[in-house]
Amino acid sequence: MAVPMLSTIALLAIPVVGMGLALSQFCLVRSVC
Amino acid sequence: MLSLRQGDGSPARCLVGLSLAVALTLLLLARWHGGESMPLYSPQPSVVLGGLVFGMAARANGGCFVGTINGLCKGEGGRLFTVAGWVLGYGLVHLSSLPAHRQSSMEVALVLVGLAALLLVLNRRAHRNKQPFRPNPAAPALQGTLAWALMLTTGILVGLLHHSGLPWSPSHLARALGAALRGAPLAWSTASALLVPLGMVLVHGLRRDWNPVAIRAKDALLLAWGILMALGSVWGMGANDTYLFRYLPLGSLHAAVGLAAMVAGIAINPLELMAGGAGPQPAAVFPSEKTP
Repeated sequence: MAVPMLSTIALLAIPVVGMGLALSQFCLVRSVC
Repeated sequence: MLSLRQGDGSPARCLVGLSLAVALTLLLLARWHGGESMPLYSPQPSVVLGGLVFGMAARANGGCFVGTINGLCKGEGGRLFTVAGWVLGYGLVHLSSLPAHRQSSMEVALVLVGLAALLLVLNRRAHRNKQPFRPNPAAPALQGTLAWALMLTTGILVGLLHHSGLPWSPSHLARALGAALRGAPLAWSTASALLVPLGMVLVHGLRRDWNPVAIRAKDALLLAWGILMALGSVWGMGANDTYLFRYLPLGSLHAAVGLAAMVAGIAINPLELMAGGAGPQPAAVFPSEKTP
């Protein structure tokens, strides 16, 4: 039961991670250049 | 070196903080699942070659996997060439994995202590210099506690995603499409990677910083850089986001070696080399890449 729930949470987390990455402007290339 | 672009060290603190949050999440999830262990890889010469090639190509491209997708989501149409290059590159080359071994608790502890110590040092230096944590220079309101909360939440969710095994990252999707070019079946779960750009489009829509840039003929060169980025990540068994947010938090030594090679590659500007030292700065190819 816990594993399917975790998978659902993971799926919902993907767009949130996309938002977090866009907001942080994370990019090693741009950090170093 | 990571603080060259922004003198306040925010990019370095952002990367180390995210890696640490991922490492802690993976550790807790592994404990919850009965102490499962993940495969780690030993560095080989191909990792150094891959890191160098990826770093140089990403520098010429003006962004890594995440940066490129983010640019595309802001309206930089030319980025489609880079994405097409990734798919072609992954379609061209396929290598078997490096020799693996199961992670030990000592390796995990070493990584956690190392990342925590590095973050403490960076934070102490920033506090001493009165430099707030600002991970996005284009969003000055995002700083301090709010910025840390966002970074750590993102890190915890990335850890959860790695643990879930979902092919969620943009490079996953490009790799799967490249494999499909070689005739491999394409799983439906691969489409989950499209949710990352969806989140990015949402952010740019809400912030109203959507800035369409039409495709130009010279953008076709990005196809070559995209292919080289893919080849570099195949040879190096990962690159950038997979090194920082997947393998390094697990304690895989190949990620540390690959990252060092990648940073060396980024320091080399292939466009300048090609133009005899007078090439354009890739960071200015697209408007959103201008440094503050």
